[in-house]
Amino acid sequence: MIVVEKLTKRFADVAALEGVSFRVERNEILGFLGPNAAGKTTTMRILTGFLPPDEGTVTVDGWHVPGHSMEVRRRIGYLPENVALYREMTVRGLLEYLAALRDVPRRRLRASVDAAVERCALGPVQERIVGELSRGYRQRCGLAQALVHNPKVLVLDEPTVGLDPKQIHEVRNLIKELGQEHTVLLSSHILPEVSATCDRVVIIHRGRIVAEDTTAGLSARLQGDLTVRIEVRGAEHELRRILDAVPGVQTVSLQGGEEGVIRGELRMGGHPAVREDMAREIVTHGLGLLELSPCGASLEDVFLQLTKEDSE
Amino acid sequence: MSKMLTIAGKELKTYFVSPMAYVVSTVYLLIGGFFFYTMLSYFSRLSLQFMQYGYQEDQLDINEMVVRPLYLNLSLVMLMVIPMITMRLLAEERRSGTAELLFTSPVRPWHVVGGKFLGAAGLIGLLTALTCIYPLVLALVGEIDPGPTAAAAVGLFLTGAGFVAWGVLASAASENQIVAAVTSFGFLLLLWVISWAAAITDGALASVLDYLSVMSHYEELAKGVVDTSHLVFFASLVFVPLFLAAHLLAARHGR
Repeated sequence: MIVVEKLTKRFADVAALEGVSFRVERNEILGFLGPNAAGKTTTMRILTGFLPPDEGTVTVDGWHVPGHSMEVRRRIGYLPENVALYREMTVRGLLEYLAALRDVPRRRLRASVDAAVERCALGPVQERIVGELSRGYRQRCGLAQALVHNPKVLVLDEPTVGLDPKQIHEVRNLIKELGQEHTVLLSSHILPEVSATCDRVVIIHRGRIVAEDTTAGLSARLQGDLTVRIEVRGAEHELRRILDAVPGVQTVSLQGGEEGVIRGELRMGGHPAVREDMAREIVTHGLGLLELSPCGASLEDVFLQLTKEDSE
Repeated sequence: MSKMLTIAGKELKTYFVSPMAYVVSTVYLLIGGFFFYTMLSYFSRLSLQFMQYGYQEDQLDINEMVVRPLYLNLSLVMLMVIPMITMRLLAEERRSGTAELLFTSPVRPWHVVGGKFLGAAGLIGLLTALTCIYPLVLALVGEIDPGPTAAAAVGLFLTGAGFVAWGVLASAASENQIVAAVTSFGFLLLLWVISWAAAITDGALASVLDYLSVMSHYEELAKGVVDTSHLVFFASLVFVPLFLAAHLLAARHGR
């Protein structure tokens, strides 16, 4: 649905994007992840026709940017980063205005606005002035304007920034719902957001794509550096001594709990033998091994490692 | 075209949901009323003197002495008001980020430029219509020549529209509203008085400078001289800046 090829964009002498390429399939939710200033917003602005690229092309539903910017724009609904909206308009007025600009025929205008209002649960505030809305409503109003012309593709730049946990939850659910009928590209610098909502992740750092995989696939990449959770009954200093003696084990955290149970997190080389060695040592020293469970590397680990590698 | 009108309608409405339109028209009519009052008082005193000393009364022309100078002054006030009306048109969209909504919608640069222009020109049209109250008052109590009066009012609107177009260009060029207002004001003032420079030059340059001056065209028009050269001038006063503004936006956001 979206094919991005070798996008390059420079601002003055600073390269914002250097040869960025990726694809988004139909009805997929793709997470576009990267630290701040990685090039996410620039990519999205090019994709939506707001900025012309220096080099490279974007194809949306068979239409190219630059060249057929109008056709592409017609197919995209865009939620800009800080949800800038016309503050002096009413919610309904704003949606009607943008729907008209986006080629919704006059006779379908009312129905399209009604649908967007309903979808984003804006009913109670639809006659209110946008500038007076709460942050949560404004965000939903931003989503509603992205949806109002029923585009095939939704591009959402940091859709949950500045919302409280309940609102974040609501917006995420809404995005997941939307993902069933629309192709969604969502940017974020927050990992849980991407793992909670997206099918696939593209990680961008300093204007380059550093990784592209499914959420699960990215975690699997870090299997070589395994995190293990343990629970042991015994004295903490003794356990620490034992663990230090096993080669390949690195203690991340150890905490004594109630009834002499110590919980901890360890990181170790991927070879299974290291785990076996550690288990044997703990048992032979007479401590009670209650739990030893590998937890897949979190997306956070992948992210930090990838962006670290790149900057080194 | 319909998108241009959609944008124009929205802009015009924006002036009326804020105090902008009301404040501007009130102040404008107050200043206009002051001009009207002083000019008319002077005129009536003069005609009284003419009567007393037995001069020929018909040497006094109310169109020449009240209507034309009134509209000339009104156009000068417009020169000061318009930069403040137009400064937000595009600069604010950029600053607040709503430009992202506008320029990711399938609208072409000339839709935007044309729409913004028409919206603000609509407000100027309304202001011009309100100024018709002065000649109407005159027509009630005396006799005015409707032709030149209408030409003066149309000229006021055309001048205003030309100013708006340059204001749109300034607002497209800068993200800062104050910068947009100051540059368009400075430029318009220069355009107004550029004929002064014609007095100290001669030959082709003098006639070019004279042609460029808004004031000389407006003075002619307000006399009732509706000549194609004036109409061409006012048409270019509108289209040149709009054309430049559309190119500016196209360079920034693509066609």
